[in-house]
Amino acid sequence: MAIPFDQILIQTVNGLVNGMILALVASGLTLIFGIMDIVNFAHGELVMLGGFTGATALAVTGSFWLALVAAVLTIALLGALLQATALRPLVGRDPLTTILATFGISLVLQKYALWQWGPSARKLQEPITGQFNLFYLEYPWYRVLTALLAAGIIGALYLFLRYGKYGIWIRAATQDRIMAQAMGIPVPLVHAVVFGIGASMAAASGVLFGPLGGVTQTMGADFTLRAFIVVVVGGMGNLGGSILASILISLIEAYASLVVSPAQAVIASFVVLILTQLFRPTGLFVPTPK
Amino acid sequence: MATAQSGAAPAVGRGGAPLLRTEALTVRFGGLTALNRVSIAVQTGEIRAIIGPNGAGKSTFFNCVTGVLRPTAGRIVFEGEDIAGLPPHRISRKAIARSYQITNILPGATVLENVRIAVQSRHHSWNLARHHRAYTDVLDRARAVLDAVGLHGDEDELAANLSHGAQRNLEIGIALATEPKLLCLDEPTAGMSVAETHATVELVRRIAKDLTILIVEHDMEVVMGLARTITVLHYGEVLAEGTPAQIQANPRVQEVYLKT
Amino acid sequence: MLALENVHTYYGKSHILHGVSIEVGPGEVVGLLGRNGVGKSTTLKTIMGLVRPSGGSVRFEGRDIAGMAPHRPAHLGIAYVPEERRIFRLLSVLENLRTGLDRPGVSESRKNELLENAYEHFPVLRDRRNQAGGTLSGGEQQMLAIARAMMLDPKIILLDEPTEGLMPRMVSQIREIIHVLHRGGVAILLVEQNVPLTLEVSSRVYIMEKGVVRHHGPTADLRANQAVIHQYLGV
Repeated sequence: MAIPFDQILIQTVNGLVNGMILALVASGLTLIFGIMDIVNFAHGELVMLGGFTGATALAVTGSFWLALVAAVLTIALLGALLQATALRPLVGRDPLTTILATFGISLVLQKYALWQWGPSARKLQEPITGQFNLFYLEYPWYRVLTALLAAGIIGALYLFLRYGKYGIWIRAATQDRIMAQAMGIPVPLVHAVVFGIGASMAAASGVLFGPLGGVTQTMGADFTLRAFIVVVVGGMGNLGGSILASILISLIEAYASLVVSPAQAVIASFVVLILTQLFRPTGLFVPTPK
Repeated sequence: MATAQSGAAPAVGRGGAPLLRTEALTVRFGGLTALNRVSIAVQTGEIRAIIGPNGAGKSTFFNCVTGVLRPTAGRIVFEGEDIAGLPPHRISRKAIARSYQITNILPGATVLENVRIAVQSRHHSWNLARHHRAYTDVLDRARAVLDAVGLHGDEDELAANLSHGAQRNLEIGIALATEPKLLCLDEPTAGMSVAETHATVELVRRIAKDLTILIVEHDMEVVMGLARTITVLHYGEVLAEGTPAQIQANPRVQEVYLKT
Repeated sequence: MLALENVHTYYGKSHILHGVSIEVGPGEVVGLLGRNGVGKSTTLKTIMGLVRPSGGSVRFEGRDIAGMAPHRPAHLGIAYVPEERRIFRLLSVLENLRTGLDRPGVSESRKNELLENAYEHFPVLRDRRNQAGGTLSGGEQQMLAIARAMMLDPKIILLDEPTEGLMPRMVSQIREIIHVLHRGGVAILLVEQNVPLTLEVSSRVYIMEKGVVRHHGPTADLRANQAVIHQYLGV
């Protein structure tokens, strides 16, 4: 059965675009895990809430970009508050405790969204319509814009961590929490801020994804699931790895949906996950410790 | 056999052949040589203390003898058999037991149960139908061990509720319950008060009558009081061996400890 | 300036410090000697708030600091150089130093001064300032750990076995640094197993054994008292 070249091409670009959105979600997750060993099962719900907040802000202001900023700021604040109240007391305890806590938070956030926005889905209007010519095909501008924005945000995060003044604090606290405190770095505050940053990246993904797939109360689970697959395949705490893994997984799923339905294409991601665990458990893009 | 730079010969035990002997034992971790051709002979029935400054290789030596670490080179001969590289459970069957610095007791079980489980490792039967309380011989042995370590009054106490000193003694009891010929004690008095330390020293003296004991310790009073022979390690090599008096009089040992 | 009184500290059930009392005055160099496992490092960790004491008091410049959040002592002027050095391996040398420099209330000129000071006393750090901390040799990492603590412009530095594992040449450098800090008015609480070095730089010495202070006095007295040295430190 021959697959037409133009479909392969489209799926490649789709895979890259979806990969960048997923990378945005996964980088937030891996940042949170890297610095405070928290496995955040509520991360997908932060994406979802970002999307809903964005939808509301869009309806109020009429501007997609304002909506994006509003959603990012609101959810960043929510994230920091969640960490400071529900998760900080759990520092140093059995990791299972934080997993249960974040899982509980995800349930609460889902029901809150249901109560706040009702059971129907929202769709966001993309800020730029129209398509361009990709070889001999037409491809939506907005999707490309999404990928570029996601890349830009991740790039900004990287630059901040590498060269920013507080980036040093975050990296020091990630490497050695105790010595960072001995140097006067307010690690509890850093943790809350980093959680906020991770949450804001999730929110941005939610808004960017809004025009593509709509916003529903249950969309979080899919994002959380894929983000975890990415983080494990890319190496926990490894920012570059999660980006590469996001693209890899999304491309594989995109190609898989050429032959099976998209709902079944996620199986391909699981296969990658299982293979990674069997042969390179520390992550595909992390050198295996000797 | 043993090399002693102090020139004095190590004390000789009851039998001719040593119970435990290492030959040119070497452990390398990448570029770091933790043990360098260490040759030691421990006679049956003696209490041998291994001392040395931080990083001298005492724990590494212990870990080799008890099967936790595989040596890079050299032999470890126990009762005439080379045991280097054997996994810990095989070592245990060879009658070498070990107590750990971080206590390994089961906190949710009673004191008696902790020891009984260890006794059963030597005396288990495959008969699933017998009730555990019917194993009177096992229980008798367990109680005898508790007696030996001074915990007979606490047999129904949950191990988690014991004081730190009592927990360390329970740890020794668990090791003892496996009926070892060689008992390896890893810093048994660490974190204990002076009173608890004295109690533990008494305990070790009592049980030493039927055993050979290898002990790593930092507390010099414990070492000088208990050991018949002391081996001093320094940078992974045997610096000196001898009786407590000989070691105390050894100027090189003093130098190393006082870093002159 | 720094006063521990009857401090008891536990690690889980293990009672490590059984009533430790130690004092360090402003600008003093005080030694804390003892064999392994007696509780010297635990004493420093208790001061830094890394371990919470279960009894007794820890006071700095009159205020109670026991149980303070662990990032506060640095702001009060207490710097810590731990036994394993623990520099930030993935940060560059300069970034390591900046973790101490980037504090509120310090002028840019003062920061540059502190940095130049460090480079002057440890020229190798200037050479390697953009290299990752983990690529430095053991001795260089020790220099970095001390320089990093100096960036806090501290009133007292807690040094935990700074000469352990170092070559004699580097031990001399450590001796020099201690002198420099002392001349600069910084107090030092020096935990060491290197007895001669400690006797040389300290004005007073405490000796610990099994979680208690067994001996305390001016260095001159201790130097003359070989018996005590051999009893608690020798074999």
